Amino acid sequence: MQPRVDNNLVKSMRQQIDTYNDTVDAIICLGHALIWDDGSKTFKKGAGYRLGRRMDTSQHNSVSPNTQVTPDLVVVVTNDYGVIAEAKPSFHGSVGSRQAELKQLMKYDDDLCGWMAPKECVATADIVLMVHYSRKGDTIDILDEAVRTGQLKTSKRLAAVSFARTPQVQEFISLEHFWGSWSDSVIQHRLRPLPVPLERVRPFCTLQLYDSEPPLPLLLQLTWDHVFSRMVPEEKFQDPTSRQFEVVCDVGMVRDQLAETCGQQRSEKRQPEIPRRDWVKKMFDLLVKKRLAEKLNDGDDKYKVFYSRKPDALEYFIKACAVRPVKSGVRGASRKKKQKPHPGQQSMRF
Amino acid sequence: MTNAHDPNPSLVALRGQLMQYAAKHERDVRGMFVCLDREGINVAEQFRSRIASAQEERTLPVGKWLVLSDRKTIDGQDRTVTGRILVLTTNNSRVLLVVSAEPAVFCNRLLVPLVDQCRPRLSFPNLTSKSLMKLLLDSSKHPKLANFNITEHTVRSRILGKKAGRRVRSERVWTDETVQQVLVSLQERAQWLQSATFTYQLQGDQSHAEHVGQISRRCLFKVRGEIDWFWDNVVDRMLEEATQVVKFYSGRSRSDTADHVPRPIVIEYNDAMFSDKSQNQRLKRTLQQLPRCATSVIHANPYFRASVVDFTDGSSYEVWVLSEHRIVIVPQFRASLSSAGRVCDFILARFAEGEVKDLEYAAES
Repeated sequence: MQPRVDNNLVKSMRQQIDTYNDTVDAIICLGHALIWDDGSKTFKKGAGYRLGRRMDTSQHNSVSPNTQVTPDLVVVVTNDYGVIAEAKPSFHGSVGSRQAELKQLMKYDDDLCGWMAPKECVATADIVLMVHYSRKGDTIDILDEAVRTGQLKTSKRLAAVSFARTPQVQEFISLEHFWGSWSDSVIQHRLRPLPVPLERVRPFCTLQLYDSEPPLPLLLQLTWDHVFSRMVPEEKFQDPTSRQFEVVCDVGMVRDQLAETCGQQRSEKRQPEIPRRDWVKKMFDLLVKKRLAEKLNDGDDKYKVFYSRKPDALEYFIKACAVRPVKSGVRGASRKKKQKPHPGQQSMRF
Repeated sequence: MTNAHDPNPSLVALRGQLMQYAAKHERDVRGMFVCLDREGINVAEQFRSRIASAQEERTLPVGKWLVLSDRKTIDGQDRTVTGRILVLTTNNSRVLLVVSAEPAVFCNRLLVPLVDQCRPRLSFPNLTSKSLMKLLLDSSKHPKLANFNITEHTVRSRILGKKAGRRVRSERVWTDETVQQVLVSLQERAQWLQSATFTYQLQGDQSHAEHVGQISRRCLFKVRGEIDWFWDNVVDRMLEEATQVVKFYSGRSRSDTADHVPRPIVIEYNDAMFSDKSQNQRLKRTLQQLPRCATSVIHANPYFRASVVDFTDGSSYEVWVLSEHRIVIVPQFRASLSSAGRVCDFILARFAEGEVKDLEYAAES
């Protein structure tokens, strides 16, 4: 069998990468919008947001008492008011098929502890579901029915916000409140929709991952371009004859450097592991499969990476992940020479 | 380094010696500013690792003489090219001035490529067209001048309306105009300046001698005729610009900043360059042509996002186009002075000339 690149898979992967990046941008823009004071043109004092944060549930939590939950976005707007947001870009289907997501929202319906506020608590908190604008209709239908049938019950305010990329003179992420309500009517009024200029937000924010597994080619590209390049000593690049560099590393080391490069800027104890170790392990498995790395025997999850210049690392890894074996005999596969049967076998032929 | 009112005597004497030597052999005095990636880099050691011979001949209070020698193929013949250079310190510990009165073949075939090979430790501070014009304009207004005219300049401009092939036009113009006239011409034709050659005469010079100078964006220069006025007015101004370049591109690595926050650079254009989305593809092609770099394009249309890795030292960047007027370059954990300057200068030279500044200031304006 010969491998070949499945162009449909390539297209699908590109869409997944775009969706993932759009979602990261949208989460960052919502966090930014919630802590921005339009009047003073500066951030509200004491406000802040985190992409992913470990929050403690109370014993009264209706779904997961006395455990930890990790919402996609945690925003402290003031010391008394916070917002928890969960991004589900393609929220669609039926109440039945979305039970897990609805339960996840109900997990946040609790006096969670772990806010970036004094005593790690806030008096009031809203729960927000973020979906892509193309899923607004589906979301309204699902949430309405879930509330009507009692499958979604929250004591805290629940709202839904859609996001969409809008290119004009500048590139914006448009955030629109379209279901439910917010405790802060000013915020609700602002999101009607609110276009957030990406140029003012994105270049200063280094986050490129959120608490959802990214498409493997994207994780590989981020690691190849921004992590492995750091691991090669500068002097080695200066040898004009060097075309390939060997980088000895382990999963933990690469995970940590990815988190430093693409994750939250400060390391805090409540910071979830983004990226997760198993994502990075999967990434190394592909590198080994593609002979871009080899597993070393002297330690768990230790590898030697053969780092070299790839003209377009993302393109390379998309194609590497989109390879499908082609069965021989299928049209377009290479033709093998027909082997003559063994003389002894000829008598078997009809 | 130098000051017309209080020059360092030994430096003045050195300048005179260089000029006399050059005049005797009918050569130009050539020079260049060289940036150091960090303080304390030994230039001779850097050179020694790349050519046959780089010896320190003599150390002076203001610098040192080096003798460089290497085999080069010139006009199909293999021969040894040798010459002496004077490496002078300046008032910025990361900027050196290198001067020589050797023939053009030594400077162009050995010295300049040698500095390029020593990247990222050594690099040329690339000026923008605007800085170069400002330098010429300020120099031309000096009261001691009888006249100052541009006789030759090289320019680039965009070829509009082309969908494929070369998009940047290079021209060499022979003329005899004042700096102001050249400036008007550049603005009218939307051109950006790469280098300029000029003639000047000094007041009170009984011989009415016409001196010739040349400067380029790479902070290379040459002068023939006299050196004192040129050094005090052109070279010193060039040093100020070079110092600004070093200050601008230094400390851009996220590993150098508090909390690893990025320090993005923006290249801003007066025209709505990216209202035509084919410019995104053009930018992509420009980045892909960066020598010894790899570019991953994450998104090309309608917004642009790419990662660039510089394989001269492992520096990496995110490049964004999120508006019609600006390219944003976000240096990542490793982003050397030499690399950041090279990436920006390549975009200016091959894509389009724009104004380079800090993003936070651009966002406020």
